[in-house]
Parts: sequence; C-alpha cells; structure tokens
Amino acid sequence: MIYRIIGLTILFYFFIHWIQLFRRKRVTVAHFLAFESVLLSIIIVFIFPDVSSFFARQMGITRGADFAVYTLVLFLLLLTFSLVRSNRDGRESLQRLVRELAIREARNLDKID
Amino acid sequence: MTTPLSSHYHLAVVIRVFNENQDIVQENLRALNESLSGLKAVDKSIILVDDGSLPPFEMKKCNEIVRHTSLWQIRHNINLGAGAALETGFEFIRRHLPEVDWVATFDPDGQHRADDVKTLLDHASQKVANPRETAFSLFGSRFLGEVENIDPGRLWILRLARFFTNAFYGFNLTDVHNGLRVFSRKAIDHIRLRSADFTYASEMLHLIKLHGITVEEHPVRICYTDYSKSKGQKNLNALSILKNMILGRIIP
Repeated sequence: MIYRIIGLTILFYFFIHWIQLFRRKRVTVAHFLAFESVLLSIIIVFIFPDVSSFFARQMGITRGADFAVYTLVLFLLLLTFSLVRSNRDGRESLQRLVRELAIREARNLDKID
Repeated sequence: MTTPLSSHYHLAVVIRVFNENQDIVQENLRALNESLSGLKAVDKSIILVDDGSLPPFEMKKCNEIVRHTSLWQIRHNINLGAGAALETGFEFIRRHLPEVDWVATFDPDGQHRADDVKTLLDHASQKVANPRETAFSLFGSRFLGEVENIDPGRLWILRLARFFTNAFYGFNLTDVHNGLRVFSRKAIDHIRLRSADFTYASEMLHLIKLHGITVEEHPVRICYTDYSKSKGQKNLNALSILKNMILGRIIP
C-alpha cells in the first residue's frame, strides 16, 4: 500500500509538472500529449492493477506485471533513442556554429608582417 | 592511369593543433615545408586548425614557413575534437580554396615524418590523373611500414580497432587510425564528417564506402616520442570510440 501511495504521489507530481510545462509553452502539443498519456496509463495501472492483466491477455502475455515491464522497456528504448538523437543534434549545431565563426575569422599568415 | 608528376597541382595540408608545444610544431612545419619544397610543380597551402587551445596557438616565426607556402590559421573558440578540427579544415578548402587538387592530413606532434606526405602525394598522383574527377584516398599504414617506440598496450588497441572497423565497414585495411592521409579534391567534396572526436576515423571509412571512394594504403613510418605519447589519444578512448561506432550504426 505504501509503495502504491509513494508511486502515485511521484506520478501525480510529474503529471502536474508536465501540465505546467505545457502552459509555459516549454513543450510541444505532441510531446505533451505523448508524455501525459504514458503517465496517465501508469497511474491507471497503479490504481486498478487488473487493467494491466486485461491488456496482457489481449496481447497474449500471461501476467499483467510482465505486460507493464515490456511496455516500460519499449518506452525507455524510445526515450533513449530520442535523447541520443537530440544530444547529437545539439552537439552538431554547436560544432557548426564554432566552425562557421572559425572560418569567418580565418587568418592568412602570408599577409601578416 | 597516367603519371601527372610533370603537371601542376595544388596541395593543402590540414593540421590540427591543440595545446601543442610551439617549438615542436614549428620544427615539424619547417620539416614539412622543406620536404614539400622538393615538389617543384606543386603549390602548397598549410591550414592550421587550432582546436580551442588555451592560450591560443600563435605562430612565432611564420615567415620561415610561408616562404613557399600559403599558411592559414583557423581557430575554434572552444575545443571540439580531432574530427571537428579536420572537418573545419576540409570545409575551409571546399569554400575558400577552389584551386586545391590534393588534401593531406598531418599530425604536428612528431609522430609523422614530413617526407611521408611527399611519398603519399607522389604515389597518389601516379594513381590518379585528375583528382577533381576521381574520388581517391590514400591512407598511410604503419603496419605496412615501420612503427617505433609503440607501447604494447597501444599496439593491441590498434589491432582491435582494425578488427572492429574492418568488420563494421567491410574493409581490409591494415591501419585504420593513422592520421597521415591524402585525399583527392573529389573525395574531400564527399567526406563531410559529423563526429567531433576520434570516432571520425571510423566515420570517414563509412563515408568512403557510402560514396564509393577508392581507398588504398601505403607504408609510412610512425615514431612515438614522449611528447606525442603525452598528446595522443588515451587507450581508454578506444571504448568510447567503439561505443560511438555501435550507437552510430543503431541510431544513424
């Protein structure tokens, strides 16, 4: 029971935090909806654990807990993929900026006395 | 292919410096310039890319170097890495030096022999008549040539790197992490590096494969000095390179 209360508190915190991020226009609509759907699904599973068993049976998985773990693994893989891509994009943008400035300020030392 | 040694061509040498000892770089640039002076029918440019050295790298006696060579200095405001520095040199050539036919890369820390640049260029120009039309790259190989004062640990790392890189990209090269290379102009137009760090060597092979650039190797001599050992990449970096290679394949 305590585990469920702690878990729900953390999940609600993130749920509200994302609403605030969306209101401050810090995240896109798609990003907001995707994240909130995931959080809402986890909250429902926390409150009604049998729901996961229902979905597990539909997917051909025996136990609800297994279904939750598989879903979480898939979600984490997608999250990792997106983080690696955005991290790489950020580094490449920085690289392009530094390169552009460097090339603009290139010095021909033949012409320096 | 014909031998165009009598024809006139322009060579650019891209050199990355990062917190280097100025006297050692100066000495190696002088040796490089002297060695290349023997090539009468060649115009030369040296592009020195300072990869965010602190304090900034300054050429003290550039007049000695630039007597027969056009010397350019480009500075990154922050340190990005070897791959990013090379790409900056390549991009500078693509944009501002349209006359360049051949591009060589050279480490100024004393590991590379200046005469090997000349040897590689001779060999490449014998293979390719028109470097603007033919995408060609020639890699120096310490394992076909000589290697001096190498640590056993570094030797094993290089062998492992060779195994993984050849397996990843389908090559049969003997030395995949040698910074001494020569490229035709056409090859440089295709090789646009995105990796900032030493993973660039593997990415370069990926691009060579992707664009159908011919790649060959030629023996060179690599001599590790105390200075070059202190400057070069650490053995543990190999793990980071391997991780980046795998990630690059899974998440392109």
